Amino acid sequence: MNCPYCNHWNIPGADTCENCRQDLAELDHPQASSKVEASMMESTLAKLNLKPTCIVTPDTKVGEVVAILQERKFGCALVGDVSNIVGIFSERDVLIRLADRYEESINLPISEFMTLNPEMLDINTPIAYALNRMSIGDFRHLPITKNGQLEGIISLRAMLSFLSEWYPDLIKSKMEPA
Amino acid sequence: MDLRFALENETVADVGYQPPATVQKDETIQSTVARMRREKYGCILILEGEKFCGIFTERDFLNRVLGKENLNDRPISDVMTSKPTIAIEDIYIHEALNLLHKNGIRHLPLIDDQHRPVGTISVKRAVNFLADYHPTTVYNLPPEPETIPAARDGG
Repeated sequence: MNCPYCNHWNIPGADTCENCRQDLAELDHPQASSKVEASMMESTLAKLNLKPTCIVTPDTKVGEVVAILQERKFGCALVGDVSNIVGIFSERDVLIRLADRYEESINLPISEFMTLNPEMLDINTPIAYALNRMSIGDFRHLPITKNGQLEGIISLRAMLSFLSEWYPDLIKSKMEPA
Repeated sequence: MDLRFALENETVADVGYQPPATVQKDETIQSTVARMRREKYGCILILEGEKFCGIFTERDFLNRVLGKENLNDRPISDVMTSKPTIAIEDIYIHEALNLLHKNGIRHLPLIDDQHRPVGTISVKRAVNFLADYHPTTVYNLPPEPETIPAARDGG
């Protein structure tokens, strides 16, 4: 990259210009190039539509958790308590880990089937960072905490919904008639 | 390229979609589910001959199959969603996003002019597509931006 002050070439990521010693660190900060980007960097997860979710204790029986998911149409259940989530159990886990042995597993604790220590983000995190994590980490649900307490989950759909608000003429919201 | 331009002018075929996982509609529920588990498919498209006739997803497995008696040898067509929302493969991206968003669905099956399935577009693919249009913002951002010192010494 070329130094904006003296046009001397420096290796990418250099903190200062080799030639004139000007500070180059600032150049590495991501800059928003559009209003959408600015909004993603400045808005926090509080702006997204957080969904309520259910929390079960690690010793809850598999059968009970499945019944909750079925009845309340949740895509996942969190395991632990409000201030200490230790696992997540999703529709995907139902298919992958439970499908062939549901009958014999029905009375086993959910802790044997859950995904341990799911990644969680604080509600004051910028939306852009959460989008990055969901995109790279292959997460469908991301539990969100506020002051260390579980506040809800965000889904890929909430993210799609946020992004589509920027193109209301192209992507209509669910509320409007088709 | 600008995201708005891409949404309006590129088709789902331009950005690429997953090839479809398919089974015939008389396949048993047991073997369909076994295949989904083995291959880690979140959804599978159901065929009648060569033509698309329905979709079966993880959610359908949870809500319609798990815990129900004597379903294993029944055909998958008993528990699939027939006549789901579908789209043709040269649909524009904004139209595909519209369908996913408005209908609250996770997978959109794509078909050709002979009604044969050619692939699926998922919400995940859609979100990745949108994220890819903001590469600098999305991929270079630290979790707490204020922790980057404004000056070299942090002062």
